[in-house]
Amino acid sequence: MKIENGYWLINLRWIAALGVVIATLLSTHILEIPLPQLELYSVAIILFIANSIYLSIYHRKIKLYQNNITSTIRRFLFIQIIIDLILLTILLHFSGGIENPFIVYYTFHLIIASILLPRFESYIVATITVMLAGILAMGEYIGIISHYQLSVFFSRGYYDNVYYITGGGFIFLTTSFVIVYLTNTISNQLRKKGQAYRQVNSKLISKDQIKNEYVYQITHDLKGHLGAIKNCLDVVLIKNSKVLNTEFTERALNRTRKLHTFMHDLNGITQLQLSYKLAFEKLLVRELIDKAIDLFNNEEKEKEIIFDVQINPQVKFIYGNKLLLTEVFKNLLSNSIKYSSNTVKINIHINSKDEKIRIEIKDTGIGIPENEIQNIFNEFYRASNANSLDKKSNGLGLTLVKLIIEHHKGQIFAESKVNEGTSMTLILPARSLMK
Amino acid sequence: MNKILIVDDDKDIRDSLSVILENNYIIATAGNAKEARIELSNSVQPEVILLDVKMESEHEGFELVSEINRKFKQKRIPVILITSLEVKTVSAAVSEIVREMRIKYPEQNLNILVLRSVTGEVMIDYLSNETGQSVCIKVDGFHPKPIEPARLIHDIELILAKSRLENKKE
Repeated sequence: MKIENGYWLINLRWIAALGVVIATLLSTHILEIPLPQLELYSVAIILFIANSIYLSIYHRKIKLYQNNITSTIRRFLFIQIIIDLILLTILLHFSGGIENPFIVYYTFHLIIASILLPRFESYIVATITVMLAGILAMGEYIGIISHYQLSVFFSRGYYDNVYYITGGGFIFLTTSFVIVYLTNTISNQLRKKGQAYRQVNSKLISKDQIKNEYVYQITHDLKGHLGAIKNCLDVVLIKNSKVLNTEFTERALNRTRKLHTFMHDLNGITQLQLSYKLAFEKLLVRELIDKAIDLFNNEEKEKEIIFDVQINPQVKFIYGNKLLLTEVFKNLLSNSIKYSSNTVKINIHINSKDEKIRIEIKDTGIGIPENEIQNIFNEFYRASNANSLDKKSNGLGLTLVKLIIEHHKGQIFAESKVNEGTSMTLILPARSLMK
Repeated sequence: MNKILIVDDDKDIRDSLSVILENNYIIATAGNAKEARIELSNSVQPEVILLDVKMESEHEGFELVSEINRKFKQKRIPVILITSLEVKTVSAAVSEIVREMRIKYPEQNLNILVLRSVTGEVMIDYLSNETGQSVCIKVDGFHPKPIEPARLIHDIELILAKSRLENKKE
C-alpha cells in the first residue's frame, strides 16, 4: 500500500457523500419516492464531517511516521472502512433495507478493503459486511427495527420473505468472500510485478551511474598521461638543451607506453564485457607458463627474480584461449614482480583434481592489507600500499584477469599477508565445458 | 625571484613544470603533503602554491594549504589548483573537485562546501562540523590539465601582482 492510497480513499468518500445527497434529491423530487429525507441527509452530513476529520488525522499520521506506512496507519484505514460500512447499512435501512438496489454498493467497500488492507484484514471486512447486512435483514424481518417501504418498486416488499432472505443471504455471503479473494489475488500479483519493475529500474539506474563514473575515471586517467606527455614535450620545445631533450623525450615515450598499456587493458575488458566469441583450444600448460616467465626473464633486470615452477606430470593440457590465458599469467607475474622489493621468489604450483586444474602463484612481495583483498578485482582499485612501489599503474590488471578466468568458467582467489606475500589461486576446468 | 611550490603526485609533470618555470622562478616541488611539509620547514616560504588536489588521501591538499596559512599568518600564500577538469570558472572547478572527492571516498561522508564571498572569492570549507567550526581555504585560481606553460606563467604573474598590491595596502 502507498501513502497516496489513503488520500484516494478519502477522495472517494467525498464523492460518495455527494452521491448520497444527489441520490436522495433525485429519488424524492424526480422519482417522487417517499423517503425519510432528514435521516438520509443527516447521514450524508455525518459522512462529510467524518471525512474531514479523517483527512486531518491522516495528514498528521503521515507526517508523524515520516511517510512510512505503519500498522497504525493501516488500522486507521481499517476503522474508516468499517465506519463506512455501518453508514451504508444505516442509509440502506432508511431507504428500503435489503430491497434497495443500492445494496450492491457493499461490493465497493470490499474491493477497496482488499486493495488497501492485508489479506487477513480484508476477510474481516467481508465478515463484518455480511454481519451488518444480516443484522439489517434479520432486524427488519423480526421487526426489531422498522422497515421503510420503497413503494415505487414493489407494492409489497419481500423483506419478510424467509426464503428470499436465506437464499439472498447465502448469495450475498459467497459474493462478498469471492470478491475479496479475487481482488486480493489480482492486487497481490500487481504488487509483485510493481516491485519487480521497481527493482529492475533501480538496478538500471545504479548501473548507469557506475558506467558514468567509469567513463569519468577513464577520462581522468587518460588526461593524466596526456598531460604528462604534453608537459614533457613542452620542455623539449622550450628548452634547447641536449641533456634535457633526451631525458624528457624519453619520459614522454615512457608515458606513451603506459598510456598504451592502459588502452590495451581497457580494450581487453570492454571486449570481454561485450562477450566476444573466443577461440578455445587445447593448450599445453607447461608452454603457457614458460612463455609468460620468459617475458620477465628478459625484461626486468633491476630486481632479482627467482621462479620455482612445479607442475604435476599428470597435468598436460588446459582448455582455453591462448592469448587471454597468456595475458592472465603475464598480469599475475608482473604484479608479483612489481609489488616486491629487490628480491622476489615466485612459486608456481600446478595440480589437477576432479577435472579441474589448480594453479597457484605465490610471491614474496609486499602483500595486500587484509581488509582490501575483497576490492582488488574491482576496476581501478589499487591497494593502499601499491603507490609506494608503482605510482602509475592503472588498477585494471586484476579486473581483466578475473574477467578472463570467468570467461573460462573458472575461479580466482587471493590470499595475502602484508610484508609476507600474496598468493593467487586459479581453478580452471581441464576440459571444454561449452558444448 | 619569486618562489613557487609545485605539489603534484605525478613526477613527470612535477619535473617538467620545474624545468619550464625555472628561468622565471625559484622552484620547489613535493610529491605529497609530507614532502611539502619538509620542504616548507627548512626553507623560505613560497609566493604561490600550485596544488594538484587529487592526491593520496582525501583532504591532503586542502589540509596542507590551511596548515601553511596557519603557519605564515602574517601573509597568506595564494593557491592555484591544478585539475584535469574542463570547466570555465574557479567556483565550477572547485565544485567539480569536491564532487569528485565525494565519489572517490564515498565512505568518508565528506562535508565539503564550496563558498563564494561577496567579492566573488571562492573558498573551500572542507572541515565543517556540528559545533559550527569550519576550516576554509581560499582558492585563487585553477589550471586545467594539460597545463599550458604560457597560460600558467601568465596566471602566476597575475596572482603575484595582486598579492603585491594587497601587501602595499597594508
